[in-house]
Amino acid sequence: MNTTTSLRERTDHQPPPPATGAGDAGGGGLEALAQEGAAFLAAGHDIINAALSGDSQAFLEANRQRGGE
Amino acid sequence: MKRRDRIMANRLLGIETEYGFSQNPGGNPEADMGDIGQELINLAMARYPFLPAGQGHGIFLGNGARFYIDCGAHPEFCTPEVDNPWDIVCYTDAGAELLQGLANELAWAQVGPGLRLFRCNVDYLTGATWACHENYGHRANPLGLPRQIVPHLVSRIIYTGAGGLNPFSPGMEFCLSPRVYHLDRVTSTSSTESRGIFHLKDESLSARGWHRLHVLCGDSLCSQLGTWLKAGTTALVVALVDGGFQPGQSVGLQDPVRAMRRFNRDVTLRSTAELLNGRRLTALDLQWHYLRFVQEHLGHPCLPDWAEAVCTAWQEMLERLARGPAGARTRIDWAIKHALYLEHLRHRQVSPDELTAFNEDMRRLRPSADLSDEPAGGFDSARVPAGAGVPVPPGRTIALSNAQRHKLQQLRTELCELEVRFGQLGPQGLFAALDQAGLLQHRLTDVTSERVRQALREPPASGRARLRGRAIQQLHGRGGHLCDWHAVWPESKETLLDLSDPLQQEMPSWTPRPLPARASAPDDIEQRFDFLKSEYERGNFEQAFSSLGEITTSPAWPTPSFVSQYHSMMALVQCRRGFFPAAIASLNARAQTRLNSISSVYEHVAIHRFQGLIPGDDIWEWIRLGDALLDQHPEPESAQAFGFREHKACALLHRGQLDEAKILLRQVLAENGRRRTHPRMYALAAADLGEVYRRLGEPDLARTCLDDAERLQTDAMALGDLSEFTLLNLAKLESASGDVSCFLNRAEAIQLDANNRMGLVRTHILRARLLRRQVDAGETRDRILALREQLPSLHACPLCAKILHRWDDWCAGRTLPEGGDAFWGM
Repeated sequence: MNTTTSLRERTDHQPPPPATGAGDAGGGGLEALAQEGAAFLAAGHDIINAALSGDSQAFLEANRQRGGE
Repeated sequence: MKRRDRIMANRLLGIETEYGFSQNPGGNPEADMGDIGQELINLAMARYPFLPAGQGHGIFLGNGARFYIDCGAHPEFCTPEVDNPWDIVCYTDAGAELLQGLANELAWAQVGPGLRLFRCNVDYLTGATWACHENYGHRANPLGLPRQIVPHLVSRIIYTGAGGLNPFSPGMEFCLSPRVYHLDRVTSTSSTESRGIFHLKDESLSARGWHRLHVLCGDSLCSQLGTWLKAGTTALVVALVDGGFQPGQSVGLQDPVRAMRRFNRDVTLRSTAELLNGRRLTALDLQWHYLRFVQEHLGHPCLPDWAEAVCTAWQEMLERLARGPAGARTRIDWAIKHALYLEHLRHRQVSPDELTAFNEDMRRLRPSADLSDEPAGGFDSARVPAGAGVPVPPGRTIALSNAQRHKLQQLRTELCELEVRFGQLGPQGLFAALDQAGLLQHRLTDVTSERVRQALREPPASGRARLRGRAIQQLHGRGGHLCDWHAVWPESKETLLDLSDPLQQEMPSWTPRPLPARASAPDDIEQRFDFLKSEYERGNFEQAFSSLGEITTSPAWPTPSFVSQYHSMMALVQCRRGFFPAAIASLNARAQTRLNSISSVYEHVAIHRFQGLIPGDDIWEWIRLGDALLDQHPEPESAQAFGFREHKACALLHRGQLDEAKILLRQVLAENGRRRTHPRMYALAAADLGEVYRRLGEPDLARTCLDDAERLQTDAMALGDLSEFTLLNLAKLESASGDVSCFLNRAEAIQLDANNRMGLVRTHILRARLLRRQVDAGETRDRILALREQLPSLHACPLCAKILHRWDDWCAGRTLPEGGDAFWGM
């Protein structure tokens, strides 16, 4: 019995989620959009601040990459 | 039946993702990243079913994917071939999960302080770029593809861009895809320099008429939706071309590179680019054109069954983007970054005028590598490039104080840190944290965590990747088998599991291994000579040797002029194969050998140049004769005269007369540089000059020459010279084992493909010295000895004998007591 087929043997390919919901710019009124946008930006900014090391130059130096491909 | 009616919808696609990586704080700054990368491979081999890659390096996994360490010590995960974009996302994410899991385990095992892995595309400090290549199988004429697909590749960045800063600007110029600044031409053969929007590489890795479109202008993305759209839309455009349609015919761009850069810097998506027909369209217009084209052909047999689902999401994305970046700010990489970075600047109280003044200041101080006639970009979405059909609002020019400029420079550095952290794998990553907080809408409903975990272990359900995965799972642990995209075979090479048909569904039986596939030789004797010369120049010396044998069966054989040509070619082929005595015999066999012309002397010089690992001493007798002839009858225009002087310079180099070699090589390059009539010899001279500079202690000049040689040899497909000399000389210049490994692996892959045993010996010898911690010295020596047994040239080569005799010294990196070159003259 081949157990590998479940990844492909499906007929229910779903496109991405419909254009509604939190952070959605396509649905709802302008007011809702603005509120959602503000919430996204505020939460996002907190996460950004938590992520920054405080010494970005040292971080970049420590993580420098050489040529790829 | 028209061609388009018989085109099948099934085509395979795949993605190769290179990851940046570094050690966590506390790591050993002296640690070799190549060694750490190898630890990842070793751990993967201990945790997952695998077979070693038969050509190149790394391993194939039980899910059909390939995992290896690429240039710059970047771990690279290549998905197995799949037939739909959902599986692309599944396997791409599985690759990220594999790597993060291995890195975690290394940390737990206390192998150093642990690793950080990144999905990034550019390094803002070093100017390096690494990325995410896409592969699309098709049966269309590859020459017809660029015209049809380039406008799509140029304009799709509005949803496939990773977002970030212009890496060549010291200012803060936001762009949709930083990697676009690394693309400087429409088409290219190289993927490591002079990158083009369309990669001309057509290495199918398949039989039955399949080609493989290799796209290298794309970004590595965090958003599942972004990756899905990137693969899905591009696969549909390729499918239409494969079906005989011309989706890009009416939207050909006047200047695709300039158009891509213009689109890239404008987050309002209002910039236009000129078409060949004189119209101007935005990137959105171009994408609408392609979308409508696909929609008009939905249901056509050339399109897959998932085409409609992609079109639905494609249309929704374009509608969102038409409303500006905010329309997609929770869904795709560049729009997420743009929103958050802009918010960060707002919190730091940076005004649009300050930003504009800063960018203009920075441009004045350090002109960007961007097109010089384009204005600086920025974050301000109201400011778009001039000449793009949209007026530039009159910005206020303000003078920045030193304090303001310093603050903005620090902010730029912070944004660069955020750029790196955005794509960091694991929960510490910025994108992952945003996702974890429920702020994003990028996930596909069909790609669950469970499916991703399954994809880590299991191959796709169709195509040859399923068969490869099954074979690997069955053969894993038994030892003695190798794998590649097109086949699995035992090390004895006696049999083969042929997977060259990418769509095959049934497991084939093991069959006796056929001779390597090759183009069929033409019937006409002149064409046969042309064919074998081209094989020789490509470095397929064994193939050229075989073709020479077939020439003697031609009806025109033995016409005297052909006999002479035959012996000349045989001599060159034999010496490159490692059969120097046979080469001498071929020259001696010519009925009328005239030693009063530079062409006949050149042949002798040539075969002595390739006599062993280095030129033989007897070459000087012929060089003296050639010098005398050229004094009497200068022939600056002839290929033989050019080649003679190149070989002479090589002999000078190996005799340690570096200054004389340098002068001669510079002369022949300058003379030929004006005409470029002998590109292969020109490239060989550039490679030799690189080696001269290395020995003179001028590594930068050496690298410049060798880069030039590499580009020319790649373009001219002079793969024998590339693999035996240029790549090996480049490896000698590197100190990081990852870079050394990259050059040696490339050389070895070419040599294995051509069964170039002389080349393989050179590569093995250098690998033992340069990567001594990664190779089994005893095993390598055995391999060299076995090859030497087959090759009379090596049997008689004093340098080969010396290296083998003092093998431990060689592998330990010791110099000779008598001094001389660090590589003993290799």
